[in-house]
Amino acid sequence: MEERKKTQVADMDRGVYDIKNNFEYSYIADAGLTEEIIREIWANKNEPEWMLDFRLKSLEIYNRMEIPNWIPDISGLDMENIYTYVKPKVDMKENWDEVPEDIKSTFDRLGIPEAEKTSLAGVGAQYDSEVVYHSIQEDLVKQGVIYTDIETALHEHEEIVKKYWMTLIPPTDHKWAALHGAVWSGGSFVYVPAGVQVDIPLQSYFRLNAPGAGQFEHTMIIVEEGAKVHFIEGCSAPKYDVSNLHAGAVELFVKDNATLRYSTIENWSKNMYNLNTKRCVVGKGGTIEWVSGSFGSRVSCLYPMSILNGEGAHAEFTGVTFAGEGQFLDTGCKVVHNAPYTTSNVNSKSISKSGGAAIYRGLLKIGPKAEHAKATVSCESLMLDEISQSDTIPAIIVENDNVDLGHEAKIGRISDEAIFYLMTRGISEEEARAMLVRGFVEPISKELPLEYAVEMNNLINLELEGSIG
Amino acid sequence: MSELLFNELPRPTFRWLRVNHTPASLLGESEETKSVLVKGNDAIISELPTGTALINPNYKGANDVALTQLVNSAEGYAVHVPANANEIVGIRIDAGARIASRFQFIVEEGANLEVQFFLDGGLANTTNVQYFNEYDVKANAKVVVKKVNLLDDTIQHIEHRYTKLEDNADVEYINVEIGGKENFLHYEHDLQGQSSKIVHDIAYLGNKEQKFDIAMLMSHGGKKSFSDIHTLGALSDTAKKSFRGTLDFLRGAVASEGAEEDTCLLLDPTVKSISLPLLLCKEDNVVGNHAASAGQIDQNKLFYLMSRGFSEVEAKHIIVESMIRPIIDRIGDEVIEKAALTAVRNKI
Repeated sequence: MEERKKTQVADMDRGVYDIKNNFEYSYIADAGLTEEIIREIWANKNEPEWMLDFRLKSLEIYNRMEIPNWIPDISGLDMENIYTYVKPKVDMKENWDEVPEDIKSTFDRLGIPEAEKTSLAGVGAQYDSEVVYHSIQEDLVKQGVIYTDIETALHEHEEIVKKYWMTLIPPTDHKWAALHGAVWSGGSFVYVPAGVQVDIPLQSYFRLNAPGAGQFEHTMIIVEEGAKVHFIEGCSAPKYDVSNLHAGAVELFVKDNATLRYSTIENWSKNMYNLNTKRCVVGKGGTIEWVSGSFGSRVSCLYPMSILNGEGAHAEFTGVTFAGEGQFLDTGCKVVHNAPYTTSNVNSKSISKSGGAAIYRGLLKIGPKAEHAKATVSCESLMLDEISQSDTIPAIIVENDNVDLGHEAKIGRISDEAIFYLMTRGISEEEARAMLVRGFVEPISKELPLEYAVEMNNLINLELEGSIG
Repeated sequence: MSELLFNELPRPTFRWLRVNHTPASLLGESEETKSVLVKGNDAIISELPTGTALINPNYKGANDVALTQLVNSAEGYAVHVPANANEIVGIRIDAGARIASRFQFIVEEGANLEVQFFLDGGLANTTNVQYFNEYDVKANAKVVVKKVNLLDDTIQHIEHRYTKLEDNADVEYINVEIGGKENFLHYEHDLQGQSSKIVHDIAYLGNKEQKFDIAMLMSHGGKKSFSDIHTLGALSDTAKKSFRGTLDFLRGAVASEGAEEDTCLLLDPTVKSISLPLLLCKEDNVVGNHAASAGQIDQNKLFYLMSRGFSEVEAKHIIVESMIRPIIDRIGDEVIEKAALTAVRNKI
């Protein structure tokens, strides 16, 4: 009998994502979580006094909050062994040549400087706990657009940051929001003045190199009335034998008639616990578009939330999740309609294989004031073998009569007939299966920026390699 | 009794939504009076003593405490249909008193059983009607259960129902839920047998402060098993509906199919509709679909009927009745169908 080729995820070469640098830093906080560590982080970052109060209050909330009973098993995550703050050996630069060679090489391999030259209006690059590079095109600066790291924003635009800081994701929201409030570091700040259209995307890339560390970046984007911007976020980390933690927070404020597109590819290594929170509030006539790809991590809990507070506000969510061996990816999205004539479309696809679990968890809430609201949700799940798991857990709450709502979900596997047909056309079974998977996620990949769509296809090929048994 | 958590979701979700269960207390006085009439072939009906073991000892019902208390205190009826027999059983519950009862049906191989379940009546004060139905449906047997709930709006109505299906067992459940103040309905259907099949249709109509809290778990264990859940109804005033439907495809349920659809017509801005249609899947060779929709009466239908001379109120009556009537028409008992239709017309 011919030997079957089976991929072991632990042995899988994730290419550039798994290349790790030497673990070097200019400062590292002790592992664990104590008031002393919080004070050290605060002092190290030279933050205003109110931020220390905020951090300490968040720690207090973290200590008294329970882990939610519905999330996947995270018993492998031991906060006592997590380094919450690892400052890289370089301060933030505005020129790649000034970034140390090994760190620059990492971002080179990820294609960030190249993308900056060809298709981005601004770039931020975070390495472990701090942003090491930031740039923005001059013409945008002239129009009043601010794109910088959150620490710089806290010093140079303190009033704006303070006004919005963790108002959408208060530390009381859940345990990981409280943790984030206590130990946050790094992240991006974007401010787009009223009426300004930023036609070329801005991109921040978050790379966690340190073993056993946490990354807690905070992203704040404010899109003023009538403005428009596309923000791209990328995340990755090399694989280690110890657990890493990502508990970032993304707060997006889309004002009246403004538009924000927020695209993400999360490609963490499979020792990562990704407990991230993303939230957006949308004003009258405004639009938020989420495009999301979740591939990596051991456990993910990620549910971008759109709060439609203004009349005629619109939310669009397009997401794909791919869970392989040993992965439990609990992802989805939440939409809350709070105003009349609000609309939302959710389109989610998930794939599970080799014992991985892909869970769609969603919320669609139409409040009493959201008359004439329209909402559609579509979830499709594909299972590639009989040892994987795929669950759909949606909640639909309607509190007024004048709505139009539809929800559909499907679970199934690749059709044998489709594989057979492709094989009769001379395509191998493996390629036929990969083609069908790529076709399944095509509605999502076409929404991604080109280089991310290519990255997603590469990831799918990587995940599918040798999976035909 | 202190507050209990009814109809817990098999896989909880975001806690702040407060939809993982429904908290409630058992209502009504403690004294129990039997007011249950069971009609049918005396040879197959016998007494079910207090404390009789459950067909599935792990079944928790709408609430574990409430079910255990019921099993330990209530007498009931055992119905044993012999192999290849054809039987019809009628059950009438008159809620002129507090009711606590059990019905255990064992339907042997190749037998056919039809159960007509009718509930009505009530008291001026709030009281509780609680009962536990168990169906053990053997290979190639067929069961049809038609239930009509026309209870007064003072009644707290709790039904626990468990079904075990063996190979090729075929079960059809029809519920017409119109009465009751608080209705907690918990259905768990265990499709253990190969090619077993179950279809469960529920029509409901709520007004005033009525609550319909429906939990349904279709557990697919057998190969080529088939399930279909269809709930449809309308809510007016401050009525509330929660539907927690779960299709659970277990490992080994090869070539199984399941579908669930929840459709709710919202007639007033003060109603509340909660829908949690879960799909859990550990088997790749299955087809699972779910759909949920909520909305107003179709304006085109309304316009058409009004253009034919009906007033807006009359047109709405026709549309709501036409939605529910196909299910009522399947009851098959003219008197009960008429009573159900009258109740529908009085409510809209």
